[in-house]
Amino acid sequence: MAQAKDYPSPSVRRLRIFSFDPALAAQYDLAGVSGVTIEIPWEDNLKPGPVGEYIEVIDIDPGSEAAYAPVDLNEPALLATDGLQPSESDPRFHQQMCYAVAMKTIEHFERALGRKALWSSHRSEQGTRFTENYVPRLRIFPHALRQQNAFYSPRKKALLFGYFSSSAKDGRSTPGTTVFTCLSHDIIAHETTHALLDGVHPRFNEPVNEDVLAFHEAFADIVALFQHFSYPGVLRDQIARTRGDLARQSVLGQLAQQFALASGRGDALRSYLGKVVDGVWTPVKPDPTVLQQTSEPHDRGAILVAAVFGAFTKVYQARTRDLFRIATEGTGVLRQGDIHPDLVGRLAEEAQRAADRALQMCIRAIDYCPPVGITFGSYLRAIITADYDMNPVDRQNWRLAFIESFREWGISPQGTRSMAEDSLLWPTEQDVIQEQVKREQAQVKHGQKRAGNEHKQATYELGSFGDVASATQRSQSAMRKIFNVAAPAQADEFYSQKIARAAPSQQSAKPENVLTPAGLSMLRFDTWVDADKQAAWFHSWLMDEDWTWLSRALGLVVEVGNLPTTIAARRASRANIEVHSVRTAMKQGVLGWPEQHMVVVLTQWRAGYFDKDKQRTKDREPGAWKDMARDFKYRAGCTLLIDPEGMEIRRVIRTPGTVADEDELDRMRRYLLDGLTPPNAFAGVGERFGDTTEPFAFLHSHGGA
Amino acid sequence: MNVVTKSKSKAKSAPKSKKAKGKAPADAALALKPPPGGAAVRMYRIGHGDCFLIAFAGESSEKPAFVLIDCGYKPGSPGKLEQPTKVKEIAQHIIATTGGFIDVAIVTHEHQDHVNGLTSGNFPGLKVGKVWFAWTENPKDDIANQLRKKFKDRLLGLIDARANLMGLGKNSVADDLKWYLEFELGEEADEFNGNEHRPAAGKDPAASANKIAMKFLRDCAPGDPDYLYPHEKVRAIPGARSARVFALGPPRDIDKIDDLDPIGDETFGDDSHAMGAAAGAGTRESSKTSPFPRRHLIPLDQAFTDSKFGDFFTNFYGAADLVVNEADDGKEIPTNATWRRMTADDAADAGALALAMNNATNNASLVLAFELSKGGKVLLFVGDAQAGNWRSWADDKFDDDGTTVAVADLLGRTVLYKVGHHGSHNATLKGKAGSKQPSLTAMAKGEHAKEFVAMITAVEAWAHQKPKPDWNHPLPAIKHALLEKAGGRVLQTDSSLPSKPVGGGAAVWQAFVNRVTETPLYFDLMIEA
Repeated sequence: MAQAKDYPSPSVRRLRIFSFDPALAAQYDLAGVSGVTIEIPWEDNLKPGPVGEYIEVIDIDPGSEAAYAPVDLNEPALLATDGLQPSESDPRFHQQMCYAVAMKTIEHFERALGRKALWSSHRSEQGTRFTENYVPRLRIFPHALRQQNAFYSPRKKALLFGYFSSSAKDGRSTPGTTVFTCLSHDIIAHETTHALLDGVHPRFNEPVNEDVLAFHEAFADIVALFQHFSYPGVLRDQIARTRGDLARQSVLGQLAQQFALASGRGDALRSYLGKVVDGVWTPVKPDPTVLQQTSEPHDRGAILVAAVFGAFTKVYQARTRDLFRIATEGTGVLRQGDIHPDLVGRLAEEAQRAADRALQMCIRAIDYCPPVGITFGSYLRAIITADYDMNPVDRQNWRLAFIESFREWGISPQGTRSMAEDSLLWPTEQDVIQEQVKREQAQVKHGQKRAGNEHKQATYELGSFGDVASATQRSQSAMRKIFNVAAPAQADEFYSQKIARAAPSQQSAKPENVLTPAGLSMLRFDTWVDADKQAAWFHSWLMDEDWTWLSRALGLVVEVGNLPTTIAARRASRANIEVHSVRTAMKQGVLGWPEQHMVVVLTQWRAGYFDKDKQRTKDREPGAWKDMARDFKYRAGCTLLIDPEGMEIRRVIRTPGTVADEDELDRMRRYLLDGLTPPNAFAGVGERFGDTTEPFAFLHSHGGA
Repeated sequence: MNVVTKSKSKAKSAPKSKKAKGKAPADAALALKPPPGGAAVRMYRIGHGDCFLIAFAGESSEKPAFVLIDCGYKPGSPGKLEQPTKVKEIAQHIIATTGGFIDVAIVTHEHQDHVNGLTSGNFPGLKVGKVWFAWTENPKDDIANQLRKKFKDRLLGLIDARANLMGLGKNSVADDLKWYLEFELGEEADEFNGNEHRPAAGKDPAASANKIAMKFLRDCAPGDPDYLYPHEKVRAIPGARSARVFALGPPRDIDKIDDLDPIGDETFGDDSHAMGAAAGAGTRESSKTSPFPRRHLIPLDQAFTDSKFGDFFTNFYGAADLVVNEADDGKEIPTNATWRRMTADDAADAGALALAMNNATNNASLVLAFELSKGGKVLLFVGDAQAGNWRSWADDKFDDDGTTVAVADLLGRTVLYKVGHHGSHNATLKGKAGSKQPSLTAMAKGEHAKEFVAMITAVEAWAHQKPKPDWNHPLPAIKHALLEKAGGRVLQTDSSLPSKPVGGGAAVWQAFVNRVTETPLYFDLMIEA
């Protein structure tokens, strides 16, 4: 802020949006609440478009060979009236709505994750070098397609929304009228979530198991749903109208479906929240066997949404039980007619609060997920661990509600002994050290001197991990090193490129090239450069002796030895480890004070072949990982959550197997060959992994599977 | 990936199983003779495509009733067989076996790999008693005419779109389109006229190879073809003693045939069912087609030079001819980067529309259940029917002279299933136990489970080869399900007779092997009454 301002800067900007798409509104009931005013963070120099810090809305319509004038939300006339009046026929309102809902979604993400949101970088090949560029703003094309479709394009870093003519058979809208997907709150929130998730975990696009695509869809639906619930006023009207029995979940579940139907995305949510039986909407009972029988991404995703929604309902019910007791004076039966407006207000408030909390829990869990191959079970662990790290004491029993609801729907993580909260937490540094010590000692007992047999552990001397006490000490010194000692010179070209981008840092007490938590007031571009720079330092530390030792416990393979040569290993004896980025986030600590933590995502890959015999041969061929004729890439790794103050690893989140694990490789192979539903009869197996694929376009279109 | 292992001829040859080497078209010993009251099914190994000759027990034991179902293949696929075949030889073989007269000739649907063998060159002097088509071919049926118009419009629109895409250099999408168009036309699309695209050769899609094949077959029979409607009365097979046929599909409901909804129904301004302008087309009044009132509209070609907003669009998007270099490593991307603009592929999804058209034609397949005798075994030929078609089978029951016959009953008695669409995704519904929907699970119940055989008309080597897109035919998941259901009794065009699977009963397997004859040109399967 160069010049002094005459008036204090506002903190929020109020903008009007449609809460339900008027063209698709299922019933007259919803017409009354079709518009709502939401508050989004104020941006000082918002340019016409709108073009701001995070979003740029460019309204070009190739299907009509037209462009539409950009709206200037800083016009005094618009500022005074909370933006343009909701209108289907003014494209400038469409731009306003896209901007508002997208910014709201970003706000939720930043609040939950405790850091500024970055979009995934643009990568390109120039000659022989890879270049990475910073993408400042997500682009939104409100009228991009003439299809009943809307999707996030990872290649263009853009959201493309479609519009179409409604047909005569679609009873919900007048035939011949145009339906715009960019006017649906849920669709905008859904697509923005895809973009945000892509920025945090770019590898979540790769469908390596049946849960990955389903997860992306379900997560986006969850965010859209709870975000919708969290707008003041939207629920109040509905709760008042749908006076019901004491099974209050039917109201919210029904609402959720109506929202989805009205946004044109009813199909996915419809089956697992409730059904209309004899004209009466009844909630669906959770069925733990359904998950095993379902393989289609939308259906599987719907189960996850139902499980999260079930958890939300449980807590909501518990919180409103006392209100009902008061209102019915203990009889449990509400009197006839409308329920008291105060009661309505309180119920709506509870629902809104619960929705907000549930949303935060779900988004926060993203940092606690393994880097690739997310499964519903590991997402549950992520939710529980993330919430535990934030509030160890859970007075409202949110975590219990999640565990119970997931169990009712048959979702359970692999590899855990029970569904009790403490067995679901991801391990800490201490836990993994103890585990590794025990495992090696057990193997030594069985007479193995060097690893490298059936489970293909790295070739180091078993037992050299040491006992718990010495191992703990060694890991502590390893951690302290990276925070205090300058990182060793970076030999890898790819990473030294990252270091070269950053300007030398200003004066600081600490020496250069040391892992440093980034300040949260940094500009987003600087944060991006810094994240990469830190990643490069982290990478060079991984080659250090102490870290090579520690990586055994972290689920990484550093020394290749006589492991399969299909493991990517640019240098002769050391496997490649990709350090995606090192991000610093703020979270609420145990005492309620803000604490920093750093998130480091590490992955490795291995060339995979569909034919097992071919795989075996290639595993022994030197330099086999470079073979371009490989059928797929099998990835594994871990996410580390590091406490910079205490200089320790708070959580270690590993994929089910290391990159050397044969069972996991085989599981991925079998999934790709047998399990992956092709988008249509003419799609090849590798099509979902290509550079030119648009993974979300197929998922959302109606012409697909 | 070929899961079926090759049989070892020496070990497995039982006395009755023959494996003749070399081609012997006029060999009397290879005539198609059904067992009494039963049927003999000959699956010709024509390539990646269907060609079936069935002989039903006729009035006299000397003269069976011959039924031909489809005759087509994807060009290039016969050459990929281990012992390549030629369509001309197959056609000659058919004429020799049937004596030049086929009682009933059936075409399930108008796709290249089901009809392109039907030419006067291949079948000189062929005579047919009756030709059977699906009701979708009936020129007097209103719904059929509606479908045909929609299809024709889509086809023309796609021919145009493909020409545009090639003009813009978008070769990969244009290639995908090429394959879909080839199915529909029966030949390469380049020379055909679209709505706007008029190449030098200027061929009319109404006179495509597929259309000519259909006409040829129609002309081989005296009188008009029969158009089969689903769930009509049970039809007797002319010339057969007891065999009858039930038509299960295609459904009369357009929605079940046409997967895509609502695109193609209504468009902006234009009357056609094809999509709106593909990028790069000439000037047209865009106010007609934009969904917004004219006052909000800035024509795209003027947007970049507009007095008020030209800068905005130039800085944040860039005109089509504005080439923007990539930024250096580590820098912010340019605001009007070229790779961020929209392309023809995004705005009008030609690929999806072409796929939908293909699906619709597949879904309009005639689905026939041949019953050997009243209450007897059933042979199920589904053409390329996909999910929408399958689900419609159980919509109604059959009235068989007073007795009601449910489709579930017919499926339960099915002992032969001609796998839909080369075993690809969505053309075989697997189904759950106890579900009411027609599916693989509903077939071959009780006693019949031991006899159940599946036939897959696919040449995997051809389906997988580049440079054409990689097609996963048959889909491994579906193939596994079929192998499991049929206890390993799955015959595929490109594979030899399979060997007995582990764990199966030896007697049951031997019974199967005894019924099968394999030659490089065909598989014969005998089905007792």
